[in-house]
Amino acid sequence: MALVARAGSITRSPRGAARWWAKVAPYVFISPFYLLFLAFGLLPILFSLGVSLFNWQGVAQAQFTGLSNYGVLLTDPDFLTALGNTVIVWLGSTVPMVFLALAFAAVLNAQRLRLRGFFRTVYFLPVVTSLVVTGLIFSVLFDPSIGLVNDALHAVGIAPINFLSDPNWMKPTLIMALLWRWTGNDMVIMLAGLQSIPGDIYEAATVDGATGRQAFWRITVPLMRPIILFDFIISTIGAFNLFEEPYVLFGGSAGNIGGTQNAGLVTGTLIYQNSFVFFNFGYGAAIAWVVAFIIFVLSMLQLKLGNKPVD
Amino acid sequence: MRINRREFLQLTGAAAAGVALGPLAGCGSSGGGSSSASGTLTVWGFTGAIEGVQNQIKAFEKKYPKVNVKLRLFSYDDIHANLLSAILSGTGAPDLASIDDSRLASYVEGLAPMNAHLSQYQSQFVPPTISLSSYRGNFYGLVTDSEPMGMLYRKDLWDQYGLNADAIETWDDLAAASAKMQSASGGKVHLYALNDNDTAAYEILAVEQGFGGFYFDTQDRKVIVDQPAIIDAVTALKRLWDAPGVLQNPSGGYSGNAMTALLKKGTIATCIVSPGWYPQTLVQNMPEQAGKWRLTRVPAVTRGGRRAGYQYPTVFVVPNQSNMKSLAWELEVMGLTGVGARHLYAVDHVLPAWAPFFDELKAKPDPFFGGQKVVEVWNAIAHDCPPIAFGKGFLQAQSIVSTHLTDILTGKVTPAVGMKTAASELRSKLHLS
Repeated sequence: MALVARAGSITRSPRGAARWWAKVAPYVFISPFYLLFLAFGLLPILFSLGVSLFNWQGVAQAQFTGLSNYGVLLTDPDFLTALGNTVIVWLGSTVPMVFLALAFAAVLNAQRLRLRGFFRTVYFLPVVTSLVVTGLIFSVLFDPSIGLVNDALHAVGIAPINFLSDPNWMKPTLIMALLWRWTGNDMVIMLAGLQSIPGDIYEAATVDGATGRQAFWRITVPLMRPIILFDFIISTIGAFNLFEEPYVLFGGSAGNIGGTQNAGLVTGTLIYQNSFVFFNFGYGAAIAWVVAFIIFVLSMLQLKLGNKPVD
Repeated sequence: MRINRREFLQLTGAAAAGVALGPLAGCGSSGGGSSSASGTLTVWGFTGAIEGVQNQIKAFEKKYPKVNVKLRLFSYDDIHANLLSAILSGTGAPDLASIDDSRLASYVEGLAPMNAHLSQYQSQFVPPTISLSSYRGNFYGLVTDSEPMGMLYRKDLWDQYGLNADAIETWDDLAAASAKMQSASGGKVHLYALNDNDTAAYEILAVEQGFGGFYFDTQDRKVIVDQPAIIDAVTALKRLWDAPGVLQNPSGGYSGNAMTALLKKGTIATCIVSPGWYPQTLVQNMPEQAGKWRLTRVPAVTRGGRRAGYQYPTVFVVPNQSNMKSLAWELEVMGLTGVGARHLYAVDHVLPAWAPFFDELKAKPDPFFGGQKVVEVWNAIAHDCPPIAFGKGFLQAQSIVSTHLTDILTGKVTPAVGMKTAASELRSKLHLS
């Protein structure tokens, strides 16, 4: 009895502490992420929302202007141009990229394919290539005087094209660069999705007499819908946050970051230009928040349209 | 038509100048500090502007043996962003930094005014370099060079096709000359090239019409791009654009290889530049054209009007955070006057802003220009400029006006409509009247 009583008096407070620690410990272990996110993610995001309500230029004292930056934005020709360019680049790159990625992934997933690892690496290489190198290579490739692309066009009798300074060609060139760089990334995502589809479904389809094409469109694509939807959403986010490629290809001069007639100006470079070239922080923050809202709306729209149960 | 030093500095980026330091004496101090002063003096700079100060570091350290000068080189773009971040964060700013003068107004609340030194140095620097390194009555530092805008032309081609530079007084005269050259050369030679978003051409016109703030008044409180005199000037620019024989929108712009190739081939006979451009581009790329070029003033908007424009040099500033302001100022003076100024010229061949050296160069004939004393011409142009000042929204104004200039020159809108729309956009984005 004395031993039990003594045991009871020993375990009452340690049991409570242990219970408390068991509850709190998971949060403590994941707290580094949240603390860092708070310091370098959430607080700056909230700060930028506040900044967007001010006229703040350079080192000068910021002046509260309410929603006036947002009002200016609605009729700003630069913003409308950047938004239009971004939408064109988004549609022109995302749609073919998703389908190309699915096609490549389907080929790589084929049982008969040899050297699968080699091909996977080759397709993924552009994703890990330095962006500066990519920009330099594309600049040389598409140069109107010495570029290989124009050499090839010349060989078939087509006059040189200024891919990087002709307003009619700047966006198609940017789209080509994006397709080259990011299809491999999407392909890896698609491949993971394809590999999660049970093989017996295809066996059953083969037994039922389905051709390869029928199996692809009737089985693969529907079962891949969640992955395709995910890919569309992250591609949408990526397109509206696009900065590196247009900056490297067209941003020769910080004051003329969009290139000829702003044909290469996208929302990402517009935000950068206003904030870090013009030092007009309030206006740059307002642009950023409007773009974030557009991304949110488009993502919700895609989720609503694409998120149907798979039969 | 125009090539400016800012584009040149951006293109050369962080390439090291490879400047050799020598045990040279300073020109004399402004009484910055005692020889017992100690600590680390941090200097930030970029290639093309830092060489004079860099040259004087050893002499400075000899004078102040307990002071260690730490020099950090940045690319042209990075130094502006980094300096702003340092000033805004309240820590990490250097004691002395070089920045593009056109961006000075964005930093002034974080810089130490140097008004106490103004009277001593005002007469030592050519106009309008003191006004353009001042903002709303405060003086912030000395500039590296002087950048009046002039018109360089191929005298041999002008003579060949019957053009006389003395007869060109207005932009309309230049437009008529373009038509004449087009006709006389059978279209083989263009008198000049022009981009449809040419803000440098606009900026020359603004100065000619008396607006030294380019897009704003000199107190940086009002937008002026819709003033009647500016609309008249832009209308003259539109007539220039429409003149027969103009080479419109050369590929790659004025700083591009295509433009250099066209000048080298003699396809373009004229360009409007600041003195910072031709030593690097013309002399280096076209030595075979030595003796064929001449310098004259840019045309005026109206006959008898002002024939002058100005670009933007580099200015050295002392951030408020510095605990060694006097020493920083002294190093700045050593670097931009006397031996430092001469060294900067020897390396970069930019037109000096320091008057005594400028006066020495005035008397020297330039063989590339057929023996013409070009510095005298630059000097006359600079003296004709009104006080120059850069507003806080200068770069943004350039971008906005550039877009509207394209609409004007390509005929989508009239000059009046285009400039009024530009003014409205400027006022709303920059919250100015």
